[in-house]
Amino acid sequence: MARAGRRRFGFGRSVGVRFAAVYALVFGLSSAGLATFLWWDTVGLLQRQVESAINVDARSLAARFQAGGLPLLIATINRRIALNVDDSAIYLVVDPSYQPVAGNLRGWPKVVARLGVWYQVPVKRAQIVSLAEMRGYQLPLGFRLLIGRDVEARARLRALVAGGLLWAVLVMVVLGIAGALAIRGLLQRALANVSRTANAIAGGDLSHRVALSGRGDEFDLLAETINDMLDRMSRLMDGVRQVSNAIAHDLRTPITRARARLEDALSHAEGDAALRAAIERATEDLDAINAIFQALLRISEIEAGARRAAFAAVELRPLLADLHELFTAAAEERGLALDLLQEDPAEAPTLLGDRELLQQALANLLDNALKFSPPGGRITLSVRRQGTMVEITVADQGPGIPPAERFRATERFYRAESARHTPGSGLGLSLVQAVAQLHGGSLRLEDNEPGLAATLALPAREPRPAPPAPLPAALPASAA
Amino acid sequence: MTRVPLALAMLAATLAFAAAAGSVGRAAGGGGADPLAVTSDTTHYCHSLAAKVVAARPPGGATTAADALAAAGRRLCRQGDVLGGILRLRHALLLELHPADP
Amino acid sequence: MRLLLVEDDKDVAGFVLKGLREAGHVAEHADNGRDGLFLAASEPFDAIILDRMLPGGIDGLRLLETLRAQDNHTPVLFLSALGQVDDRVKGLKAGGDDYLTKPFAFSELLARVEALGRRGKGEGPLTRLVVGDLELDLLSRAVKRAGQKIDLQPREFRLLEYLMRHAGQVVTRTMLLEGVWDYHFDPQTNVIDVHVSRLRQKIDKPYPTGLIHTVRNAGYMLRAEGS
Ligand SMILES: Nc1ncnc2c1ncn2[C@@H]1O[C@H](COP(=O)(O)OP(=O)(O)O)[C@@H](O)[C@H]1O
Ligand SMILES: [Mg+2]
Repeated sequence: MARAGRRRFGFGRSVGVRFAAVYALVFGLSSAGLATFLWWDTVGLLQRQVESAINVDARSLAARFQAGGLPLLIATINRRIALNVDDSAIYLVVDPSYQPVAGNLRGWPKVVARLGVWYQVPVKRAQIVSLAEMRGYQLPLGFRLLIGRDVEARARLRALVAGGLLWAVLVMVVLGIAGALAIRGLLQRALANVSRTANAIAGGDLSHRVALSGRGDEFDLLAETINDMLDRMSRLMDGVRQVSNAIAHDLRTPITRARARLEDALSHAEGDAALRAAIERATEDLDAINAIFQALLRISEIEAGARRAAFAAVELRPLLADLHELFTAAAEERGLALDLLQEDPAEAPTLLGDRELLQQALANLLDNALKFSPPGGRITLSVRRQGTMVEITVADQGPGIPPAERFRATERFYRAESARHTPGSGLGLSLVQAVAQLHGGSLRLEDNEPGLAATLALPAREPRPAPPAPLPAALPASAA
Repeated sequence: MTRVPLALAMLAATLAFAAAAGSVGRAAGGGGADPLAVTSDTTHYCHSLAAKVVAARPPGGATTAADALAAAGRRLCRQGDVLGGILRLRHALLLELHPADP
Repeated sequence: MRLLLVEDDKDVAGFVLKGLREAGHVAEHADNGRDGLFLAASEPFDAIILDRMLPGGIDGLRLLETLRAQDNHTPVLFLSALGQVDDRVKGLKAGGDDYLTKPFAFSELLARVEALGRRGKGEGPLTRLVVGDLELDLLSRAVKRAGQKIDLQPREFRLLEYLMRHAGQVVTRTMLLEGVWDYHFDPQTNVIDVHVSRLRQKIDKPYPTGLIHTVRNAGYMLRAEGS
């Protein structure tokens, strides 16, 4: 396992290495750029200055030659040499046979083979060899002019800068490598943290979470996201486990009952009638089991969200009126009053949803209200706008649900102790909750003092806003 | 396992850079042959410069500064410090020819 | 009625066939889609009971689609273990006329099939329904029994209309919920029973003979004495 893991992190495939390489490359390139600029700005600048000075010199001397011939040229050169305070200028005029005519260089250097090209030539100055930058120029009548400048000082500076840069580059290399390694280490540590968790979870330890560094950086953010996901997953798993436990438990009871009834009839039934009755009741038990299955499947179908594709505009007023009409008779039968309250009958709240599911959810709430209310009570079915939500409330005056139990009431198969003797399987509110969530709303269970007020809060379909005033930019288009 | 190639690459880059830096501008350099001598730093030139300074003396008489520099230059040339002498003589000449900007 | 059952489960098929024949119908059976399609296309039936999932390459949906493409409009009731809302919608969209989820009570199946087979047999649009001495005028929306006018709420009127349209047949609570209220789920509360008993108060109570009968374990039936 560890070996395989190491192989997967191998060179070239490792993100850490790739990041580090990119980092080193970027760092190296910027360092090289900096060094180049430094070089260009110091040594390069001096060189360019020398070269332009020589060029200017050459032009003015050529003009002199033109104006006064060789004598004026020689006089000018001698004067320049005499006045050359920093003792760096080199001049030489030679005749067509390369014999020196004027200047301060012993002879035409052999290396200066071509005119108009820059040469660096060592010269001896007061017995000391130094370096001179020079260039030859053609003069009329076959004469040639050589102008140079002593650049020994510049060469020394260059050596200095080069040495400095060399060290700087060495330092940068070291820093680059160190930085790249640090990045790689950081990445690998962060990823190792995540993969450790993933491995632990793959191995079955669902409680493992990615450790946070506490720095609040991107890795922490990632870790938090992953942890949130894991939390949600484990909640879902818990839910599934709980549901399957509940199914196993809650279905076992009616199955046991049906089985016992059939077996009892088989061995003890006296006569046809008794046998028939037993079979009939067993069939009812099976129907009840089937109903539980249906309800469970329905809830998971709703929770899966597949029904959202079939959403359409639903007008609440007729929907509520129909439900009210359907349940009123049954309520009156039990000595209960069922009232329908609409806050503003003129404004019919509309929402986007699944009409059938909304009907079923509200029917479940009404079922409960009817089922749990003692005779003489009053049940109200009401609807009102609350901001962007439409709230439909079914309130009764029955025993209600104790506050401590309310959050559990929407769990599958939850039934209060006191509900033991009323029919039902504890799936009604689960379905209501699922329908609410499918519509992006919620189910609230509150105290009606006395009784239960169950409120289905659903996002309203906004009434179509008045057409906005046309924007100036839209005018030409609408005119066209 | 990763630092070896990385370090090698960086080192190679460094060496290349150093080599480039060392060779800039020297490409056309001519080693080999005996360096040519410059003739404007000899005792002989010093003396000719001294003569020039004298020749360039304005008719109204030179400034004391130029005279002092010229004298010092001549003395240094005699004593063998040719470069120092030439330097002073050049300054003196400059003062005589362009008294405004020394 | 002549009925066709296309169902591959032998036990279920045997049970349904026996029940249908006991109820006085002529029932044919096919245990795969190919044979089912052949029978349905070659012989006239009053209704077809069709399983959604069938072996032999042609499933219920395909069979029905092929049949409808041949302009065969025999009423079809889907019988399916696929009980999700989506499946029902798909089945009805493909041209099915009714949908029943397995497991089912035979009485429910029988009631629905008889309702389907009877449908579309009327000659032209009806304006008046008569059962015994009970008359319902669909145009003036007036109800009379033995010549006496009876006042009904709109919903009671629709409930009675439904019962009268299916006079002599068993009508289940689920059928009433779907047909009268357009609800496709079963409330736990006995809402339908209460509505029927209220209707009974108005239609039957004042008269010597009752027309609305409760059929045990199945639902209700509107039937005139002696018919
Ligand atoms: N209106 C109510 N008044 C009192 N208790 C209620 C009410 N509605 C729900 N409950 C409690 O919540 C439980 C779960 O309700 P529900 O999910 O509808 O299942 P069921 O109705 O099948 O028992 C009920 O068993 C009951 O204990
Ligand atoms: Mg309930």
